[in-house]
Amino acid sequence: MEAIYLVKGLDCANCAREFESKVNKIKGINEASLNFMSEKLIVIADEDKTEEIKELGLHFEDGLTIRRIK
Amino acid sequence: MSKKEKFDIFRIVLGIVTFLPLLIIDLVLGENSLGTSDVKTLIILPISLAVYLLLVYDFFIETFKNFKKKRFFDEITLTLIASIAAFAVNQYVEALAVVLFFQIGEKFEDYAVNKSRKSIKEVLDIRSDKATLLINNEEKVVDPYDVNIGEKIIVKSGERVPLDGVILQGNSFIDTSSLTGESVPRKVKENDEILSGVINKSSPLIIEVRKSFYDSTVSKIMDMVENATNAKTKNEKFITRFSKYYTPIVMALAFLLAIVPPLFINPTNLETWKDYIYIAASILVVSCPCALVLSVPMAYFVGIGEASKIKMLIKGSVYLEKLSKLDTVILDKTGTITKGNFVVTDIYPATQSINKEEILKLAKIAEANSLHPIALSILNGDKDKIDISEFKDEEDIEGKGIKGTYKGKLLLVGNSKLLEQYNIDYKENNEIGTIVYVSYDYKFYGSIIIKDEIKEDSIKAISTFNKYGIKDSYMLTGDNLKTANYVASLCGIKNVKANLLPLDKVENVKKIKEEKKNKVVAFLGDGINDAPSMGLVDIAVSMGALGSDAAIEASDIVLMDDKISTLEKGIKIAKKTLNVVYFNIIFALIFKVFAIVLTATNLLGSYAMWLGIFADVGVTFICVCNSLRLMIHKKIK
Repeated sequence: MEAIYLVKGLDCANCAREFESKVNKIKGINEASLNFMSEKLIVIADEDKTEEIKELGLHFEDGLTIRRIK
Repeated sequence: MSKKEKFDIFRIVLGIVTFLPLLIIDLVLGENSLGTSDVKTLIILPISLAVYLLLVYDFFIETFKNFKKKRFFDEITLTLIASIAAFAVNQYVEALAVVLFFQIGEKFEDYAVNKSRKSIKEVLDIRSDKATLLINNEEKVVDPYDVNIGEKIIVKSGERVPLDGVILQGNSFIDTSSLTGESVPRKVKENDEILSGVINKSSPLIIEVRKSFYDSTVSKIMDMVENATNAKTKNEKFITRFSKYYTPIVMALAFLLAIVPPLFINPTNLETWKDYIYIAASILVVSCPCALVLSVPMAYFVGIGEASKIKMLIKGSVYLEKLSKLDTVILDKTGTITKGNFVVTDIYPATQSINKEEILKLAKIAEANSLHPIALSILNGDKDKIDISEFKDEEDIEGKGIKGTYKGKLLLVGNSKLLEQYNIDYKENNEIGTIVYVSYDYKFYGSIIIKDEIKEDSIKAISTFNKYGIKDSYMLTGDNLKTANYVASLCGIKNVKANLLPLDKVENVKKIKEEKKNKVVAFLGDGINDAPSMGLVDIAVSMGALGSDAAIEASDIVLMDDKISTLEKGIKIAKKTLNVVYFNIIFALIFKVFAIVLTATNLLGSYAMWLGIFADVGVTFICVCNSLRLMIHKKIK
């Protein structure tokens, strides 16, 4: 299933790339793609991974907010 | 401006003000810039150190936090390491410059990102944030989300229509430019459908809501753009892979240069160590792939935004990239090249004893329940006036027409194939147009000519396809060959396939795509009947699909203004975007490699760090400006 998150507060494009690769490493996530410009993270996973992603965001950068929009 | 922003600007300005005189002093002293002198230690060091700390004290805190989060080498850490190394080898001004330009670069990047995000939001946000409900003649302002289907809303002059509906009361002019790009106001009256997003220009309209806010046109459009696929283009993938290796490799190189050469050259000489640490620090400055990681996605983003300004919605950067390489276009005829407004222009009775009205009457009876554009043109709005009580056994024979019994006798209304199926002798009509044959009681009654108009810009747009790199175009239609050839010859389309049933269309599209395996093939249609064909090509483009969720769903690109020339403008934007992307990739790569090689081979001596700073901040600046350049343009004609 596909989930879309709005990721706000990423410092830079390179951090976005790094965050994307970390989300991709979460077990059970088949594919994650983060677009720094549109601030959207699209995740394809077998089950809902919102908690894991939010947890990851919490420890990634200060002021990072993640909200599921779809 | 927030406190943090004000402070950032303050410290950058202070940084520049102190940096410049320090730089001049340093240059004047500079004969032995790697050596130390009293001025250096007594004046330059304390001042630059103080400003340095003011500029980056929070970076130290952040880096410390990052270490705890197990994030080690981000660009902040690397910048700090480089600047500390520069201090260590007595290059105070350089150390200050590294962090000062880093800060300026960051601010500029933030500005550029915000600027481009905002510019696109403004174009696209055509949702209303309120609706005025009309309950028992009393007005109540509510959130459009809270309006239910069937409720009445009032839209006053100057207001945007918040939800899709039908006009119950009022005559007015509406501005549809935000949806269709059409600047001439359109007249609307009672019983007309009205789409959300348009602006009421003259007098108040009372509208019965037909769709919830979530399902209304504006939300669908926003949804399409906001949930555009994140699928990365080849170029973006390349950059992701490149950055994954680039930073660690540059760091390793810097580390080796700091340690290995001095060990071999002169391990006991402190100056040799200083020289190589300086070289290593200069290389570290170039280790961030920021120029690429930011400027390339930004170019695509701005490109997509620019396309939406000309009313072309693109569902992701992948399609923008494909658009720039568009090779073959398959066009549907009706509603794509032509307006899809069919009008009965002539009726040919089979014999003199049959009059035209009778033929038309029979045709109207057969088509009374059909929603096909041809049927609607025959009905010409008379649907409710026709007595169909004696019309029975109605059957819609796909791609042929309608069969049924009227007053107990067989009635056939359709194309020649339908009459052939029932072995009815008919006289072929060779007029240009869509021909509808009418047969009653196994006798041929006559034929009706229906014509469609070609859209104003179709001919010019299609005949200039080759200017935009399109090598081949095909026209597929269910219409007869004669009409198809006529339209095709006007537009300069060489490949025409006519008389196609819906399934034949799909087969033809499949064949064309197989022939053009490695080329980019687009299908242009109304998106409603063409969904199966659209799935087979590289780019599915739908036109005039506003109000149809299915069409928006099925397509990769939507031309809201219903004009083929918009496709060409879009190709122009796509090509421009890709040029920017390629320039940025090539320029940044070459410049960075060039800077690293020059520094590593110690050809620049004490100027290495300046080149490093330029290769980092300067190159990012140039690449980002290049991407932003897509926003500034002469009016595309």
